[in-house]
Amino acid sequence: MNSARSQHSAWRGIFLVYRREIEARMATKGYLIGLLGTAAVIVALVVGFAPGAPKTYSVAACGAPAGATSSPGAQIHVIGCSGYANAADLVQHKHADAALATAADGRITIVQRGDSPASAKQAAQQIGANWAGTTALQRQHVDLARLRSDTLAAQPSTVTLPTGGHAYNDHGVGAAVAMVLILFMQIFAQGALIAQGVVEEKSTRIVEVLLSTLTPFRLMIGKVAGIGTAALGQVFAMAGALIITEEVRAGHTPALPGPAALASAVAWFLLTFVLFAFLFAAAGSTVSRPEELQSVLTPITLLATAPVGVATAAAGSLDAHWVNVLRYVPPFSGLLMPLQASVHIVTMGQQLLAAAIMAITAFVCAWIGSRVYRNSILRLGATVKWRQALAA
Amino acid sequence: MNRLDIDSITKSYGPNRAIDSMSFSVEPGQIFGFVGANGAGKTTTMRIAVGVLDADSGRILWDGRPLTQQTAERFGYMPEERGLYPKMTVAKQLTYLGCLHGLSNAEARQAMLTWTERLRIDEHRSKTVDSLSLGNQQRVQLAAALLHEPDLLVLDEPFSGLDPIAVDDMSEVLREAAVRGAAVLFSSHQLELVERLCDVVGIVQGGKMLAWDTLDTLRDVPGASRLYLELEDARENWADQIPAIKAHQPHGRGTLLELAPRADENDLLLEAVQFGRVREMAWHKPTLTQLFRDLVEPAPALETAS
Repeated sequence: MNSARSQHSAWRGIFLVYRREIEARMATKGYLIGLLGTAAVIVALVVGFAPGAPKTYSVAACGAPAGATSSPGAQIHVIGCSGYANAADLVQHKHADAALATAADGRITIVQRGDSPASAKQAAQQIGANWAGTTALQRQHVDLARLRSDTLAAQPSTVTLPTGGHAYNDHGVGAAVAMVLILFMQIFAQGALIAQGVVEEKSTRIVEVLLSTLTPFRLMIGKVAGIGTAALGQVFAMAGALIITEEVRAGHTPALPGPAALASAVAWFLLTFVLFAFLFAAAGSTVSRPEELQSVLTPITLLATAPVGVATAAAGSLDAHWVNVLRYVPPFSGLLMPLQASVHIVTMGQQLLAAAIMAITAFVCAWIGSRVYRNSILRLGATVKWRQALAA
Repeated sequence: MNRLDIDSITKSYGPNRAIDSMSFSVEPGQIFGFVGANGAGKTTTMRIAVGVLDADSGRILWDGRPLTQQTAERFGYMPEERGLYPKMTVAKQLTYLGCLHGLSNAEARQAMLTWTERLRIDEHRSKTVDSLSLGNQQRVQLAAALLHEPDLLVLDEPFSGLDPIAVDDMSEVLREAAVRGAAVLFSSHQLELVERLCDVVGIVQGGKMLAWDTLDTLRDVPGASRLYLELEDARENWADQIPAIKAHQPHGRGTLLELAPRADENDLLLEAVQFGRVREMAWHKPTLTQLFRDLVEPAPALETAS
């Protein structure tokens, strides 16, 4: 009974701290503006980097010989005309980018402007050559239908030999790298917020009042969970903006990670966030003033930067042997696993194994962090060394 | 209501021993004044008492049982360095802290309304703490410690920086808490205030409890009280010639005396009248300030009668 009450009290305490963090961070205009801004930036990036719709050129053609079947290509739109004068008029007034017309004597004239696009001029030339060939074959009484049929039957087949490249389609790896890097940046930003929150509670001395009702570990968990939720809100805003933009501009966006890759990235973001969050909180507890934070955050920031460098190096060859080893090692797994998931070269079982290793490491970091926090949070003055805090 | 027992606690910071086998008890309904010089170990002891710090050894007992986080929730604590969220409104802050002490949202809100009114800060409920004067911030801090009607109230220097009206308000609140049955432990350097408010006083130095008891008992310690005698027209050195006087020193218009072993007031009076007219004779009990000085920095002994 006592234990159950104590557990209830523990959860309630954590929840109260969590709720206060949420209210202090998310129920503000700044946070909402930040969310909208983040979503807007994602939409702008996706649309900005999207390849434009392929340009189509118009070629006016009149007087095609019977049996001519030239296909000028998908980007060429062939329009009709009534003779040379009409063709010249269409080109002159930019209703067509180029034209070709057959005179009464069978001669073909290509009409173009000085600024006609090369593709249109090339298409007109190609059609003209095709017409000329057809006319010549007709003059020699060649059975054009049979010729076409024989030509089709003799079409070459294509065999692509392996070149020793990737065992995956690297279409979209760039976007996946960008996605996980953006998520990782969130860890830096939110980790710094956690450290700042801790040192503010220490410098305003409110922590002493809080610790008279809560254990340091519960206080840390509530704080990390609250700030983590705020971070997750931003991640969801980014993912939502990405998915909606993809849907709205279907076919006009660059190759983006699919929903499964997005889900994997968010899950790995959470695990990596937890891994670092307690270390950031512990670092915050070792100093007495916010302006002293930078010096104690640098080592953790460097530790968190290492996976970014590794991921950038791995992006060129995500199935390399060293990547397949490092993907199980925290914190590198936090970036490598979602990257591999985006190109489908990692199984769910492998992800779960790496996640278990990450979870155990996160627990160890939480334990170390809470010990440093507990032994530093009431010590004012000079920065508390981690060794001192762990030994106390 | 329950009693707090501090049982032989010890705490060191590296090589420095902050608390050394400290023991004392605070009964329900009792106001315990904790006095000592800076660095004597008061704050550390109080932090350990409310569970903010762990002792290296020794026990904290509440109702005879070791302190748990759950029982500590029923304590009210006001740290020496006032601690509040500067950018949070008074109402939100107090409601939040009330909830942390186990009140429901509705109870915490009601308690916030009651105590802000009781401590005359109701007009500041919607203001952020950093916009209040230091005195009002102190009242908010006191309200935070009282919201949940704690069974034990631990206040570290609650009177420091308060104006006389706030001191009276704070004193009244402490008395009310004791009348309600709460055990009250507070530290202060304002010894006159401690003397006025407290049932029991503990004097600490160098992390050790030098003495703790009711003020009357402390004053009645053999050798602590002096007899004040004022003789009119007495010649010089009269005190040296009275066998009932062991030691003496001038004090105001008269003399402070320590009686010789087995001598009493009558012996003294019989001999003193031979040297002059006795204008006044009374036991002079030491003030807390004198007791404190005697214990912490013993004054030179009275001049021994020759």
